[in-house]
Amino acid sequence: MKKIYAFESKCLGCGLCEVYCKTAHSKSKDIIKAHKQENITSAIVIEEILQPKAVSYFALQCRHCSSPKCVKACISGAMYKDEKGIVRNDKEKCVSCLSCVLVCPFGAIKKSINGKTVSKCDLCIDYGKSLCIEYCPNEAIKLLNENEAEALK
Amino acid sequence: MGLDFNTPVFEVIRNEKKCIQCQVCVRQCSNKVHSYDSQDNVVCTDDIKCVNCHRCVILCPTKALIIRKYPLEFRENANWTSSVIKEIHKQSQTGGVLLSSMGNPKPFPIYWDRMLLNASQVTNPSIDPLREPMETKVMIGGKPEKLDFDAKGKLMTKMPPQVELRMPIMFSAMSYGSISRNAHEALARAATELGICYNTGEGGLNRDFYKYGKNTIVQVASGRFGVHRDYLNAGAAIEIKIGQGAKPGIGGHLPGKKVGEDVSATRMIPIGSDAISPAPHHDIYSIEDLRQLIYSLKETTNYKKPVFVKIAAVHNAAAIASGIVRAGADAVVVDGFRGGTGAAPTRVRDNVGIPIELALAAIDQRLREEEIRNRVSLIISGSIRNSADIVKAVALGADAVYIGSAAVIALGCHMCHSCSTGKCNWGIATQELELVKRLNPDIMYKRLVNLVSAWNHEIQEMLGGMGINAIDSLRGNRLMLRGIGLNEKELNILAIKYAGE
Amino acid sequence: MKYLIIGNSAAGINAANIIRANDKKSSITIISNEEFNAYGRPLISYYLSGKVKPENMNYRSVDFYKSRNIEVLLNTEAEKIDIKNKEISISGDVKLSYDKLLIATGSSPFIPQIKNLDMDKQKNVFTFLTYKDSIKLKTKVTKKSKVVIAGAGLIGLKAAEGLFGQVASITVVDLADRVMTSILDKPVADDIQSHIEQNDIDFKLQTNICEVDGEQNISRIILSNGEILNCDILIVAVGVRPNINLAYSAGIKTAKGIIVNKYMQTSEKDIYAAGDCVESLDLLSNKSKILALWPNASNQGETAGFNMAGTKKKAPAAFAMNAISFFGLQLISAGIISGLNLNNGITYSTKNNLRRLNILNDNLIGFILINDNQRAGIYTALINDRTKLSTLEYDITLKDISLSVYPKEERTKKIWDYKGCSL
Repeated sequence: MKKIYAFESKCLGCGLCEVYCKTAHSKSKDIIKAHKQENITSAIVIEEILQPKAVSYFALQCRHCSSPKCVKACISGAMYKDEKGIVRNDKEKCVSCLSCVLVCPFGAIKKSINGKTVSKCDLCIDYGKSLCIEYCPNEAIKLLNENEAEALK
Repeated sequence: MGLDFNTPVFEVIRNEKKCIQCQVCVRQCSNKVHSYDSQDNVVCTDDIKCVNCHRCVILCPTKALIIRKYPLEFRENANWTSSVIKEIHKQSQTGGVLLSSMGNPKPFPIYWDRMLLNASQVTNPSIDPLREPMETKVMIGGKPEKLDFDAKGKLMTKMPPQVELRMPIMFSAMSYGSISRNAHEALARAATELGICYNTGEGGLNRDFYKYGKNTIVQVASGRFGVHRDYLNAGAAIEIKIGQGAKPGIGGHLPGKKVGEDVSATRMIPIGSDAISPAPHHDIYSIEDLRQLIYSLKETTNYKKPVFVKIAAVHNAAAIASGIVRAGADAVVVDGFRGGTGAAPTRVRDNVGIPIELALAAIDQRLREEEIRNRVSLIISGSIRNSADIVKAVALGADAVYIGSAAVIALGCHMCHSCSTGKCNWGIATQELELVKRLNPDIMYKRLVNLVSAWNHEIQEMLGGMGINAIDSLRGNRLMLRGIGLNEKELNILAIKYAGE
Repeated sequence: MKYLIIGNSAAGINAANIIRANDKKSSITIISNEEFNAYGRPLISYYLSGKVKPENMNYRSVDFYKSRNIEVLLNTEAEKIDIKNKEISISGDVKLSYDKLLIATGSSPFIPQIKNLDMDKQKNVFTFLTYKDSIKLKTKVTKKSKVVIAGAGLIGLKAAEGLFGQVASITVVDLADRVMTSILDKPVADDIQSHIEQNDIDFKLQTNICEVDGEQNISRIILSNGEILNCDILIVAVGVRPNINLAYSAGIKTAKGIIVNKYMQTSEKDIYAAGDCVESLDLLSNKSKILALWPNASNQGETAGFNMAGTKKKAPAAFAMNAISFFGLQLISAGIISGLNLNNGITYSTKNNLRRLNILNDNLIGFILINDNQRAGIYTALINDRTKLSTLEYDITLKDISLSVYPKEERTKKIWDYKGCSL
């Protein structure tokens, strides 16, 4: 399967990926409405790395682990790995107990602002394309399969 | 600070209906114009810091931002304009020399726009470059008086060293230090893909870039920064920089804060030290001295590399060019007064030097009259804005052009004229790692390739229109030009006829 | 090959899933003494409150069993294991044979000795461990019910939260000096207690129920401190005990729980055990303990599944961890929280917002986070991997945790590892 990889040397920490993540996961699919009317939490964590001379960043998303700890910790069965290998969270079933947040070793799952569920990257599977990648101004995140990732490592 | 006369130059207008408080603008503005007020959940702006670089405007996902001229007016006065008054305010506060970036912005005539190109109609056919061969390749370097062949038709004449350019365009000298490493990488990779050359400027050449050597012109300037044998041999040609169009007669100054580890190693100067390029070369006071430098460089490189000499377009550029040819240069580079710079004293930038079009015409004319034109290639620069400017330059006698401002605009420069602050939001004229990152060479080199390829297509179209199938056939062919809105003197210097003649 | 799994919750289901993934052909049978398909056991308090609807109680999709060709026998009690003949007896004298057996029988509520208490006779006394318990309780409570809960642990408090707003009063009784003794230290427990109290839940701590009044229904409760509480409903939630009888009587080695090796194998070669009924090796104390935790049960079930299906795999490290919320207050804790004289750094603390890290000898050994739960899993990973804190990029007691705490090389490796984390 393909997943999203972040390039620390390219990431600007601008936050556009988060904006488009929220848009892709909104009902309206409209940037302004998604932000002004819908309470959406982005599924991206922007990591900040303080270095002696500069700050660098990278946008971190779910690694869709082969043996996901979050799925095993989930008490409601909301978190699951689908047939494509994408780790997804069924918002209907999620009770926001945060067991997944407790065990994700990447810190890639967030409690959602509305408090009712958690937010994590699902590769925009319902939207059809990963908007974060499309709108990253610096090609700092890419959707790659295993071999492509290995080549760019 | 007390009384401060400084007022904003630009006003940032935020459409609150569109602003989603995503704070991309806050994070992207190195000048800290935008800030987020978490209490009121609004993004605020501090207009006075805005240089109008458009970074926030371009990145704003909802296009909620507009930047426009700050509407504060002075009493209207054609002489004491607002910029004149503001400059006086500034100098009376700081006591310093005014510094500016990019080229001369004053409304002097732009001769490119007063020359028109010819096209074939009926009596000679125009050529469709998409169907027929069309050559835009040029060879830069001196050409022999005549060619001798042996009985078998083999060339006997020893050719002077040449640089082959797939199209008559090169990227101007912009030093590593004045521009970022990523900008350099984008230029180097684009030049390589395009089969042209970029120029190191006076900043030396990082060893990581030696692999682009075939497409690199290495520069030797008055500070001699980063000059050593490997460097001289690394490039396709060597350029001695005497002067620069944006600031003729003035040296360069790279502030110590831009001299980080990598720049320091490349320039061979201590970290954090100011890199000062003197106004003159202290070993050149005559054409004879110049000849010594040219030949010592040729000697170092086994006479395999053409040596260019670059001067600013000044009043007696033609006579100086003649001297340069006689000193043994393989190419003369002339930079007009609109040529860009990272930083120049404003008064020098705005008042010194002459237009490149006139200098080019005068130099080409003079070298022909002296029958030494074949001994050099003539390269010009100083605000080449589009492919038509190039075609006109070639018709006036140029072999090739350097593009600098156009290249950085392709890299994202929005001509905010703030290079000297080192805070370039587009990652071009900065050494701050966080900002340098914004220029992703993988993306940006393609934009350069796109730009130059597009121009080359246009050049071919215009050549074809004139019924010419090789750029060499256009060189110095001033019959292809007509003047418009020019006086007799200007027509004489340009040696072109008036439209209708 | 015949696989038999006793128990239909986290351990059993995850085991069955892995066995099927590794062995497409053999028969898999799960037997359960409950009447429901696998459900999220911790959800029973959410069901009680109405937050989760019955259709969302399912732990796996409706077609889980069918699509994986797993036979499931509900309402079936495993009565005896016959190790010699490799079969088990179930109700009605039926015998089921197996080649590989998994015991995932979970645990049962512990019923303390209380004078006059008779769980079978008295109709208003409940335990709170199964979906059925929750359903029964939900049908019984009214707006007028005065509820007494014995036990201020996780189960008791979640029952209290589940009932909140549906009854007249809730009183929680516990012998300890604080709530959730097993996972919280005193100061944090006090904060949480006062938060819960704000929602009109009363606590009677440092006392216990010594007597109940009533024949068919309990009407009064007498505490050891002499206090008397009126009671319409009593919930007994003082703890759980592993269900080891089945294993014990078959001669399988047990202590407090069933003893297993790191492959989740019991003292009998073809019998495995996983989940709340087994003893796990606690990573932090290095002692064998009951760690009745949902993630631990899933992990052990998976491990057992792999090993039963022939792929040797060790169980991942186990240690206490909990994510739980009460009335909007979100609590995450892991590892050792109290009981040690620790060099603990409180990195961030306000009334309802606390981050406490327990550090011992250059290792993070435990943490409590209240509300501020961002990237908590990285702390868990630091405990799990026994990461030396001195090898990290910054002092975790001074700055919020993030992946950037790892040195670049390690961080990059983690992110770029295609598999992500694997068992």
